[in-house]
Amino acid sequence: MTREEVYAKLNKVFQDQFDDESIQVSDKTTSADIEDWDSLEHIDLIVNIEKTFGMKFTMAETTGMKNVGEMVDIILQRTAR
Amino acid sequence: MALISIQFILFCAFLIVVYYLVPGKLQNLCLLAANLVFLSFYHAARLTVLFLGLSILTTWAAALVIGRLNTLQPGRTGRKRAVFVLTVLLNLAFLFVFKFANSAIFALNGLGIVDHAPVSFAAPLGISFYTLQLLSYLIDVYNGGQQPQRNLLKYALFGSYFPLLTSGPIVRYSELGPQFDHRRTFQYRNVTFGAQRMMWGFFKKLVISERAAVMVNTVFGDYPVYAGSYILGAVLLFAIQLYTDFSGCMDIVIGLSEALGLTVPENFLTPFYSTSETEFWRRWHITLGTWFKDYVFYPLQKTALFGAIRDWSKKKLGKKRGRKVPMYLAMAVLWFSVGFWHGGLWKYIVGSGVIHFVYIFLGQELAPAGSRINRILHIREDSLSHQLFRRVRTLLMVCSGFLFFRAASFHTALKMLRALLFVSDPTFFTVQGLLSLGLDGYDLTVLILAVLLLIYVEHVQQTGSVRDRIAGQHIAVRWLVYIGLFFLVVIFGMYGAEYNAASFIYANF
Repeated sequence: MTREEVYAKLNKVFQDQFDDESIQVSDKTTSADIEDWDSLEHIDLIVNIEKTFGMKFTMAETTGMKNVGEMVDIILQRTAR
Repeated sequence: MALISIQFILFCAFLIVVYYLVPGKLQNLCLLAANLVFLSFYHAARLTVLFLGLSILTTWAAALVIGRLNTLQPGRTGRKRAVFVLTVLLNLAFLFVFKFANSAIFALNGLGIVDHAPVSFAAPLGISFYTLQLLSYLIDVYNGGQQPQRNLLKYALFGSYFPLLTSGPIVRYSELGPQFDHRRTFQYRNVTFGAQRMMWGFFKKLVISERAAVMVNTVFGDYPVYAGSYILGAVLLFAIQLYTDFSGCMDIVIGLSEALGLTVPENFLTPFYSTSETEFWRRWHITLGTWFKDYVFYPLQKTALFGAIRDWSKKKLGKKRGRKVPMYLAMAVLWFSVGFWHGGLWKYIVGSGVIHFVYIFLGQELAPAGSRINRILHIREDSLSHQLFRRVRTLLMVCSGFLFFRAASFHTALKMLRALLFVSDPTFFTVQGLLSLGLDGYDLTVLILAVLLLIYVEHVQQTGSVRDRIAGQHIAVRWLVYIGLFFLVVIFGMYGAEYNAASFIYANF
C-alpha cells in the first residue's frame, strides 16, 4: 500500500468517526486540529483504524503517537509484512 | 524530613552545593545518597528502604527479562506475560497490604463477614506514588514503548528520587530517567528560578493553606453546629486549602528539581480556570489522571471484552451512541480506581472518584441540550459572563467532591450536604460569621489579601511565565519582589511549635 492509499482510507475513517465529510488529515494533523478528537473518542478511532487496515497498534503506540504522520508510518510498517 | 522545616532547607542548600561540585560520575551517586539521607529522617525509614528497594529491584529485573525475551523469542508471549503479571501483582500486593488493609477490614466488618479491629502499622513513604511510577515503567517496557534500563543505579535513582516520594508528581521513566544519563551543570538561572518556585510553594502553604485550615477544621470538626452557608464556606475554603497545600508542595518539589537541573512534569495548571469537569481534571493532579488514562482507561477499552461490548452496543444503539457505551464503562472503572487509590474508603471512592464520573457523564450527555437552550435564549457561549458561569458551576461540582474528601466519613459528608442544602443560615458571609471560625481580624485579612495575590499571579500566568516576567524587570524591582516574597513568608507564614505545617495532605496517600 502506498502512503497516498493509506491516506485515502484514513480520511474516510476520520470523516466517518467525526461525522464531517470535510476532514482531510495530513502528516502534521494532531488531536488539537479536530474538535471532537479527545481522549474519549481516541480509542474508538484507533479500533476503527485497526479494523480498516487489519492491523493492531501496541498500547505504547496508542497513547504515544504524536500526529497522523506517525500513525501512517506504523500502518505502512505493519501492513507491509 | 518534613518539607516545611529549616532542616529541609539546609539539606537542600547543602545538597545543591555538593551536587554541582562533585565530578560528573559521582553526581548520580550523590543524589542516591541524598535519597537515603532524606529517608533516614522518616519514622519508618528501614521499612521504606526495604520495600522501595524490593519494588525497584523486582521491576528493574522483570523489565530486563522481558527485554531479553523480546529479542530472543519475539513471537512467544507466554513467558513474557508470566514475568510481567507476577511482578505487577507482587508490587500491587505491597501497595494493598500497606494502604488498603484497613479499608478491607472496614468493608468486611460492614458486611458482617468478620469482626476485626483496624490494624495500625506504618507504610513505606510514598508507596502510592512510587508503585504507580515503577509499574508505568514496567508496563511501557512490556508494551514495547520503552527500552529496559540496564544500569541499576540510574533506575534506582528514578524510583527513589526523594522529592517525588513526598506527594509525586507521578513521573514516567521517559520523562525523568534519561536526565540521569548526563551531568547536570550548574546554571545560575536554574538555581535561582528553582529557589523562587520553592519560595512560592512555601508562601502558598504557610500563608494561605495553614490559615484556611483553621477555619475549615473549626467547621468540619464540629459539623453538627454548622449549617447552610457555613458548610458552603468551609468547603470553598477547603478547596483553597487543598489547592495551596498540594500545589504548594508541588512548587517545592518542582522548584528543587529545577535547582538540581532536573525537569519533572507539572501537576497543576491553574485548575480553577476550568470551564468544565473534564477540563478541571486535565489541570488538577494531572499526572495521576494521565496515569489512570494511559494504564487503565485506554487498555481496558482495547481488551477483547470491551471490543465485544462495543460491537454489541453499536448493533443495539446505533453507531454513534453505541460506541459511547464501552467508553463510559471504562471511565466508570477509571474513576472508581482513582477514588480507591486515595484510600479505599467510601468518602474517597465517591468524593474523589464516582461523583466526578457522574458529572462528566452528565456533562457529555447533556451538552447538546445545553447548546440548544443557549441558542434559544440567545446566550453567546463565548461571552465572558457565560464562561464565568461555567467556571463557577465547575467549582461547585468539584467542591461537592471535596466535601466527601474532607469529611470524617461518607455518612458525615451526607449529613453535612443535607445541612448545606436544607438548613438556611446565611450568616457565614458576614464579618461576624467569618470571624467566628478561629481566625482573628488580622489573620483573616492576611488570608484574603494572600488569596487575592494568588489569584492575581495565576491570572498573569494565563499569558506566560511570571518568573520570566519578573526576571525581565530592572534589578531593583526584581530583588524587591524576591526579598518581598521571602519576608511575606517569614512574617506572615504560620509555622512553629503550635502549627502542623510540617505535613501535607497528599503525603498521607
